[in-house]
Amino acid sequence: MILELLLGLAAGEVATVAALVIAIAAHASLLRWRARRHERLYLGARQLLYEYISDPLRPLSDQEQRSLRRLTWNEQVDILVALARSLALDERPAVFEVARILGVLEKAKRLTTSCFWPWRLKGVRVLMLLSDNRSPIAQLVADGNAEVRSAAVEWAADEPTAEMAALITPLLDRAAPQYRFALLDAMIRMRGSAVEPLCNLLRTSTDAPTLASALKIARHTADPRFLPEALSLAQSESAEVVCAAAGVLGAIGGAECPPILRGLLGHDDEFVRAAAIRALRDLDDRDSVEEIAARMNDRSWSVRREAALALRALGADGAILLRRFTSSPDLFAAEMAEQVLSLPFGATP
Amino acid sequence: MSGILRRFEDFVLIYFIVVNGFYGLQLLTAAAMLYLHNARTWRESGWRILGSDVTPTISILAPAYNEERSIVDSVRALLALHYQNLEIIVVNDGSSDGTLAALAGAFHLVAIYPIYRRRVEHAAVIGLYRSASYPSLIVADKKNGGKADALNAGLNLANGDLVCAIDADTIIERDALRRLVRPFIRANDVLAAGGTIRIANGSEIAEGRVVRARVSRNPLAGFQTIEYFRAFLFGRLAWNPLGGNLIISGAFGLFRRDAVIDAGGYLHDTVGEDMELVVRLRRRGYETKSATRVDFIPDPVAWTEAPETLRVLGRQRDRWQRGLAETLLHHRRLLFNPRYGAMGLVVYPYFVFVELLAPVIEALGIIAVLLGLFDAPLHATFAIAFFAIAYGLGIVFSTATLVLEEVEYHTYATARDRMLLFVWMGLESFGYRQLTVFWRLRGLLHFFMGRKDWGSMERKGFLRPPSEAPAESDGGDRSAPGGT
Repeated sequence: MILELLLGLAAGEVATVAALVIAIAAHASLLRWRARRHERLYLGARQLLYEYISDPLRPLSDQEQRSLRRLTWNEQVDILVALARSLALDERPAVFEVARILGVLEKAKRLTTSCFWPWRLKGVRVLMLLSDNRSPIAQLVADGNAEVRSAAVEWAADEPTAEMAALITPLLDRAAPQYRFALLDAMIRMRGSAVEPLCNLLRTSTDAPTLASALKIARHTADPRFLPEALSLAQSESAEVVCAAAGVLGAIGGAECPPILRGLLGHDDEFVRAAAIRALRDLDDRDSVEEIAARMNDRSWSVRREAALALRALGADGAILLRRFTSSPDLFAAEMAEQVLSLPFGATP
Repeated sequence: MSGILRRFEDFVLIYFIVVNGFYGLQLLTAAAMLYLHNARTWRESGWRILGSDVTPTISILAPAYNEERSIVDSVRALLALHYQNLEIIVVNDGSSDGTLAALAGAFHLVAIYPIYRRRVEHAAVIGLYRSASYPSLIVADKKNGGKADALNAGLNLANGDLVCAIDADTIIERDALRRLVRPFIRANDVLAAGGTIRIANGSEIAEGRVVRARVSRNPLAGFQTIEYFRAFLFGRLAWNPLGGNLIISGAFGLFRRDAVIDAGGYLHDTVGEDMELVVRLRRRGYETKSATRVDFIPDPVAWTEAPETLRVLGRQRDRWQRGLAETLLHHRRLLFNPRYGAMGLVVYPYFVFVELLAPVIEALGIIAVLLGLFDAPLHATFAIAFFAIAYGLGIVFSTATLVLEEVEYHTYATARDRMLLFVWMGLESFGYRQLTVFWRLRGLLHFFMGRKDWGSMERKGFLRPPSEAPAESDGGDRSAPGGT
């Protein structure tokens, strides 16, 4: 009985392997067939599209449409995307028009309403690449799936309007850590459009990671409108927020910043002290050399490092103070001063 | 006697069913993961990652030992990788040949004195250099201390948010880093990510890149090609949702630098330092309630050279098994410990009972069935049928992996390559599989005897013309994808 079962299993295995081998061979044949078809249809279709785009005022003839419709939906997407990417912005609408005529966009829109997230993602990506009417994507900025949301947010960076920025800024407040990169990247790319919504968020949010992310965007944007919020958040109880706020102050500058930053040199948190020194160096605030030099005896390596680098960057006064530290009784400070002074001119560690 | 044999046979049968059932689950999971991965990356825009202000910076750590002939080509290939904010740190681990001179000549090295904190221990660094022609290239010259020691030196010097540990002669595909960084930008709780390693033997290589993938005619390289497919495409990919990976190949893996430094860097006194680091990082994550995820991404590809002689391959497998045993013993507290979540309850036990003990059970199973033949003549048919099923299932899983590869990546495009893959897949179970069992058993024996050496490794060297290939080097094989 068991023996028969085992022999049956062995026979089943042979059949499975045979079927899988046939599947591989069939797939290889399918690929070869596709390659031949590609040569026959794809190249012709591309030539046809080139001709159409060079004279977009004429309508796409029925015969031309039939030729293009012989391609599968994926092939149509491939060829149109490849073409759109190689065209100037003002030439792309002709490609978008072809996509509309062929029904590529209609299907993509349908996909964006699917309950299966890979299809929604596919729809978003096609619309991003082949459509200038992208209203379906805007609805997906708040999609439940992080992948889809991220793709929609990517698109938002290409639409740097105040409305779009206002739409995506609250996403910074989401607890889900997924795709924070896409959001930060999009908001940095939006530059000025993102300033007002971000300022609102900085004024109202109390969540430290959210504030830190918003300040990170502010530092890259370096817009002076962030100054009041950054000054206020430099007094926050969260060290993470204070670090980020110091970075913003260093990027924006202004008469109010150095006193605040000098005040942070005595902060309990070593990362805050280091960030404050870095910001003062970025501001090239030579009035702070004495206070920065005092941090050469700091117990934290990263603070001593930032202090030494800042002194090196802050002109002759800084360099003289740094040189004095080479004979300091504090061996940690002396070693750091030696290391920084031996850096080649202009080199950053 | 016969009663004991019968009970042991029953145990082998149950073990066989459980293990192969789990393989089946892994295969289905890998297929689903592959589909979702491709859905995620379909028409993704690579330039957003490459052109962003917030993309993590990467430091590549490339330890080199006596690689005078290949190091220049290897470094040129690294410099050509598509990734902005990339820093390349080559650590010359006390080479006795002209590795450093070759680097100095080709890249115009000048001495530098960077500020760095020695946060993980390593042998003394003698000199630090930066290339005058490629500012992103840093070379550290240090006393010999082994691969882990060299990586630790690189860790101290690295400035990147992430560090990519590689072997100096690994060929990394141009856009592999951009793909491998995806888990880190998708989620905040990722500690490390690994990519697929493929066998380069037989492929056409020019200017530090694989220009045409071919399946090797050498049987050992061919068998390893099938093994690597199984290990990466179905083994590691399936672990992503089943509890996370315990191994990231030493030949190509990306780690969060701060996490590695906080964990103390690479251990010196183990031959499985890549696996040990991953287990330690994840364990620390559970203990400190911080990040624990280690992801495998199927599409970033690095190519490595597989051993083509039994002697060298045997030493490699021996070392992998010792490394596995050392790591599992070192972290034995994980076994069935609910504090470590799926890692303690599923992944670690799997590695103990399947990866570590499978060769023992397989060898005992063969012996028991052979002994049983003397006990009862009917056993002969049963034994043949059982072995046919056992090895047949191996072939089924290998073929299914080839289907995944063919449908998703079709790396090997010609009929000749596919035929060769089928041939190696069919022959793998007859002789090669038993040899690997023997090598792994020998590795376990050496582990109990306390052997810690890496053994020597012959390389033909695919980054240089065949006429220049050295006869033998003793650098040690530094590619360890782990055995699955």
